Amino acid sequence: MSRITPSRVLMTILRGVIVIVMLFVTLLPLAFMVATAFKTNSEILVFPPTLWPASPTLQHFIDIFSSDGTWTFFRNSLIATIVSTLLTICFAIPAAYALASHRFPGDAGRAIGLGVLMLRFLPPFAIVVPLFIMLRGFGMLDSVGALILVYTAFHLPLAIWIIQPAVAQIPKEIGEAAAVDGNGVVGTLWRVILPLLRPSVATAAAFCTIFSWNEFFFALVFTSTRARTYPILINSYVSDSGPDWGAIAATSLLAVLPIIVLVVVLQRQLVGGLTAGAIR
Amino acid sequence: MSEIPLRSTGGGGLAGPPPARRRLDPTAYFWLLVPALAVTAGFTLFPLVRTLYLSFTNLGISGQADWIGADNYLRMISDGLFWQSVGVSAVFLVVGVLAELVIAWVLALLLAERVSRWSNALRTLFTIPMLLCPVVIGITWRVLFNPQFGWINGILNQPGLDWVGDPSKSLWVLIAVDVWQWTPFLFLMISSALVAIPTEVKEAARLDGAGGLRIFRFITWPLVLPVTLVAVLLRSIDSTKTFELPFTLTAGGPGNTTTTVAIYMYRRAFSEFDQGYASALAVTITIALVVFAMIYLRIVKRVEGAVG
Repeated sequence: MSRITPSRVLMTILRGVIVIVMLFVTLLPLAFMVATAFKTNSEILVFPPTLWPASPTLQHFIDIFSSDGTWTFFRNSLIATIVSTLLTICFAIPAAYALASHRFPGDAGRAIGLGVLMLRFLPPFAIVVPLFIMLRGFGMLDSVGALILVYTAFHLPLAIWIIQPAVAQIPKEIGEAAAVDGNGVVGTLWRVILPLLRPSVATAAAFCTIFSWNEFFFALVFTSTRARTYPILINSYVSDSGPDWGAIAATSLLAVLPIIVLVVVLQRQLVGGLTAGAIR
Repeated sequence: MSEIPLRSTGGGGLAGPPPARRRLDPTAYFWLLVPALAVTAGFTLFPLVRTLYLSFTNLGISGQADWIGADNYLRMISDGLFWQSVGVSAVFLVVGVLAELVIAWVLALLLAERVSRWSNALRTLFTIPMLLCPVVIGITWRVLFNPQFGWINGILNQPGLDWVGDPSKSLWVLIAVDVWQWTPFLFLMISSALVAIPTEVKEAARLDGAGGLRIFRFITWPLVLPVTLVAVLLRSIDSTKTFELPFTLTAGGPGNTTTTVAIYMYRRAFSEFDQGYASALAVTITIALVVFAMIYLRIVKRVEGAVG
């Protein structure tokens, strides 16, 4: 089977070339961010562009953080992401557990499960106008609290959807044994089931974190000055007078790094979630 | 869990009745659901119903919403800008998803085994585009396509070539970036389905004298088609929702050449505060999506039945 024939050699070369091209295309924007973030302003505006900074500088990072706006943007993003992810997970675990392990009267659990599935695909623009009016009514426009609320509600179906199959896979005997040991529903969930759900909870939390951290549409509509998040900041660097290249690259790099770390650390769960569960 | 009927608790024998009764207490399960249901009902379901209601009103900047019946929907029929945005979204969806599908299939067929062999590093790399912030992607590509100093023109050695600002190119640039971001998604799904085909099956077919094409037609294709079809549905829904990419990459322009339905709805609602009409747009697009998904799933079922 493994004779070396010219066509085999050709295929191997072809595959190698394809992989290299794919890597090049995939990494192009990241390479741009890294290179541009450390270039001087004069070097950025050179044609043809250089790949490696001739005289690397940290000036852009110093510049973006010397305006205290940048801190506020990143702090808002961080708070909205962490709090909404925690809330989502706290709500999702009991809901997923109840849906997967109890048959509700009239098959309501199935209907709710189906509703959850549909809500995962809900376009944000389908609910944005009433949400805007509601949040204005609560006096919550331009507050991080509004973003936390909306992100929690919007990512909840996704989290339930990821955790539910993991609950269903736990053998019934485990829950029954816990009950025999004198645990109630909540005790069983907390002491016995939850430790077994760790991988799926990690996956759900990772996706909530990533989607909240990246979220732009709701942040654009619901915030104006105090509660703006970093994607809004990056968008604002493109002005009529042209883009502020260094600031865009430096801010993007800072925004992207935590995601890349997360993807590398949790790559198995994330790739599994994206392909098998088909998250998006 | 609920298979054990409540009545049998007394006759169980060894297991004591009290824990069993407690476990079967249905109200506890109900209360576990309540927080999630309350948040979802309050902040997604209620607004969804409310959008439907508002679509029959003339809600504007004043905040006053008067019932105007189906006027918004009638207005939509003769709204050229709306139909233009539908056209943009349709081209973006069809061309983008088709391109992603073809590229992903070719790459997966060529590389499936290799990628699974070097798996972790490569798969991680290919996951990155779809998990990055869409705003970062949009702005970065906008800068990469910059006519004067962008890297694309640097690679092509074509200083001054306009991309995003050229109405005949802008939609294609938008599609290209979408393909960059989402081909890996289809690639990962298709290649994981390809890798899942047991080698013994293919070996057996080969020993029976089946050629490469026949193996593809009768083994590979039927096994990978379902995954592909689901992936295409997910991409289609996502593509229709796309807002960030056109907003940051091209700002919907030049003119309205990249104004997708999501961008158009946003402008109506929050630039012109024509929120009743914007609600009607949102309802129409959402219903179109649901209908599309239902028809699609029905066709998928038929296709899968035909392929075996």
